[in-house]
Amino acid sequence: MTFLKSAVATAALTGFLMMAPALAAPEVGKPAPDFTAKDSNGKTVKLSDYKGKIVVLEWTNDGCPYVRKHYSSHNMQTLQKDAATKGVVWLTIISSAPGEQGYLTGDEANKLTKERDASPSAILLDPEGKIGHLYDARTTPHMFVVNAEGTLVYMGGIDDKATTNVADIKTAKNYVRAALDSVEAGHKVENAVTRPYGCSVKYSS
Amino acid sequence: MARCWLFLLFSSLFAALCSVNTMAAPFAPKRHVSVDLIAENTSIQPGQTLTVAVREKIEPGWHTYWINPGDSGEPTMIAWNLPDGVTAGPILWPAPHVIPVGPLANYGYENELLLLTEIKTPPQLPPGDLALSAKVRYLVCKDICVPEEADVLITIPVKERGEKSEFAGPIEEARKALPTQFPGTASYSVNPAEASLQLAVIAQDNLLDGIKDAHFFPLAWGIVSNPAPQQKQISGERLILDLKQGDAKETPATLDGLLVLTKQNGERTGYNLSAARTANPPVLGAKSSNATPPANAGGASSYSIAGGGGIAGGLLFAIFFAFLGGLILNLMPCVFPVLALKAFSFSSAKESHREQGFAYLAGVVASFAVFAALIALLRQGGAALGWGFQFQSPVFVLALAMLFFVLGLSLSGLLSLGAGLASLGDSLTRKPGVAGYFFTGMLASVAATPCTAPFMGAAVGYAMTQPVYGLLAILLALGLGFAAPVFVLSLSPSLQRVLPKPGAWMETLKQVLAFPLYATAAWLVWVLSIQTGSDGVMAAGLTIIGVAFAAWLAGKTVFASLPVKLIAPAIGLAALAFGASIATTAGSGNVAPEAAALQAEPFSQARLDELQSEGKPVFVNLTAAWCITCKVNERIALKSATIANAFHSAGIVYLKGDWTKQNPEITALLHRFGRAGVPLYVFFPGHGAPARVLPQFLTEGLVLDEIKTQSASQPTPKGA
Repeated sequence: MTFLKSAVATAALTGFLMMAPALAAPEVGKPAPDFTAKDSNGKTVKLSDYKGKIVVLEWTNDGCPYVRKHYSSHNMQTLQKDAATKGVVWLTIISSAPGEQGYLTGDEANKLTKERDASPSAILLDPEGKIGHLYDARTTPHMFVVNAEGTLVYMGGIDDKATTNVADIKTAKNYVRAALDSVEAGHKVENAVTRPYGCSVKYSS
Repeated sequence: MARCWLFLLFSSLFAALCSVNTMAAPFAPKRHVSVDLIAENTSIQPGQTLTVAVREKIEPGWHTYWINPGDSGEPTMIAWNLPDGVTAGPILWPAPHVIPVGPLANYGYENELLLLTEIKTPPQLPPGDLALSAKVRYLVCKDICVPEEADVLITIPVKERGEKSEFAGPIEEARKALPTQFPGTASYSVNPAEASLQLAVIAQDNLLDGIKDAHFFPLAWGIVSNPAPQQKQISGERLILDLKQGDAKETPATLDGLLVLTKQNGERTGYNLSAARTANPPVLGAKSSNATPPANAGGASSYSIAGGGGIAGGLLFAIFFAFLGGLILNLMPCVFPVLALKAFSFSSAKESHREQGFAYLAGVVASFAVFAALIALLRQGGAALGWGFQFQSPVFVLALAMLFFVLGLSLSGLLSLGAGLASLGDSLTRKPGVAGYFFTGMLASVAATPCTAPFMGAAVGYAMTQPVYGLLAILLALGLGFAAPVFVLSLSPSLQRVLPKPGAWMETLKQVLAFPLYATAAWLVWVLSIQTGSDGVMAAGLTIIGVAFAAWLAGKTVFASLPVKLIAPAIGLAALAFGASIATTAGSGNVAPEAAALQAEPFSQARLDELQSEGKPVFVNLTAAWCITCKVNERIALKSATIANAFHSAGIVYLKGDWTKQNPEITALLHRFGRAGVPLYVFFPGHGAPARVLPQFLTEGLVLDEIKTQSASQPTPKGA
């Protein structure tokens, strides 16, 4: 009789398997795909390590004029600092393949961070594009916000003015800031999926 | 030593001198686009509208972007600085190209681009020159991106009469090439389960004749995926495009964009269209070439299906048919031998029959649930899947062949119980009590999958398009139907009494039943031979010998110490691994040339589209090596000279698609007609008439009738 029970249990388990999260591209409202990566100091970092904290993922390429727009104006650095005061974890991710624009070694990445006065919690090196493909990261910058429970609550552009013009930052609506404010206040993020703009991520293919 | 330093000094001076030239001008990054402003006329009359164009000459290999740049990038923007009363219209965008960038896609232009703009002047203009200036900002990319801007200016004298300039020719050409309003109607529908959209257009004026390619460029971001390929179906004046949903997963009331049609000669024409969202999925098949069907490609007119049957309307029907199909599966040759054995032991075992029955049921249900889970997971992952797909893997076929061979050996009495891993399958089913029944249930289910019986075809195909709960329900119904007969036997005492009493005859019967198992193994090796050729057969042969040796050795070492006992299963596994490695690397099989009077062309979607656009009638037969129904149908209905002559005189092209190995085009066609497995017989009568699906059991008469009635009722082909 016990074997019968285990047989029924197996059947039930397979039923549960079908409710498992999709393996496809990330979706707002679903768990953010977990990943393991090495940061610029060689340390291994996992997204699930940060459960209990809000996490921002920022895809970057320092040669891209759109990234430069937000760094030369200190827009990105200010956002990072403000997020840090709220206890938000900021992960800057470089998915450029070796030889492509934006690719950096760990030391170069640390140097760049100092130079541009940025303050991410870590810079993740993703030269094989694994995390980039996992999140379907398309542009630099491309922003994702994950809440403390590990659910993806925002994905898309940093703001709503898709230009390289620094002057547009002032008048643009910053989606990342709005998302972080909403999550903090316990509200639903209003513009949860927006158009990411920038240069294409320089994957290896 | 001094000489070395001197030499160094001179060479560095020389290098510095050489670079003076480039240092002479203030450092300016190299431009990748040269921009100027050209006008259609050399002078302008007050009140007249003047067409000007911003001309971008783009460095080869680089590109600028369309109004919707796609996954990345930014379109050209023109900020005009015009005299009072003079206004500029919007940019008139030419049809863009798709520019793939790795996993992304952009929409843009290469080489030379004319962005036309209409400048309107007021009726009163001061005499003299009109200065039209603008700041043009754009992003130009190759592998990296550079934002550039250019200031452009032209001055045009105000005169009584405007005169054409040297640029009038190119501007007129560009104007002619601009997208126009789509002549026809357009609608689209959403399939949330598959995250896809279907755009359906009905074109007037023979627009779709001779079209080689069609692509839809959305105006807004996020509704349509940019890099996803767009499968097209053209029939007469109808075009259907399968689009993948974009990130935003929005389904607006109208989908706006540009439909670009490419002719056989490479000529591209763009059409602006606004597709209204409808609830019904669009289908092909216009009634007559002269009718103007309504914008709502209504779901009522589905493609007609000959001989009744067809897609079950509604989940309940599908579940019912799945249950019936499951019942019938018990009779299939790949399943029956395994079952017959188990049915007898009901009468002899010590355990409660009810428990055995439930265990069997559980085994079957678990297997089908796992199938459903696999299909659902793989479907999520985007793999185009069909029932029987696992039989496209040569390793799976080889492994199953070996399993049946070993089971046959055990039935023949050549293999004793508990002998090694090579006979794990058999020993599992022979486990005492309920465990044995559970695994029998699982084994029977695995073997049943390629035998797609008539009732199953439609139900499983329907299941594939349903969300997860529908898929699960249908496959479970299939499993329940499959398990029902054996289960009923276990439950009903009276029926059990009907079963013959155990005796010596059982041993004989058991040995006889080994032969259907050997036959199944042989058939699987034949399937393998199609997939992997004679090398695969050799590998299978050697594997069989290896496994047989292992089985014999296992029998000899039954009472030996454990290390010795392990030799046999080790050999068995090694043989299987050897066979599997050959199976995966062996080339494609010798396609058995069928002595057919009817000449078949290999199926490809491109060929089908080509024939359809030529208006020719086409008979499509989708088959596979493991599909017994297909082979029987071919032998009965498609082999004779009568059929060959009928096809020939009606000018019907016979396309045969072999699904023995993975073929995404065939899988897509199966899905289009709501099927998940073979066989599928579709007759396209040509000239825009609706496709007709034939039943899964063919007879010669049926095929001939189908051809004759369709040829007779042909609408007169569209006149020259």
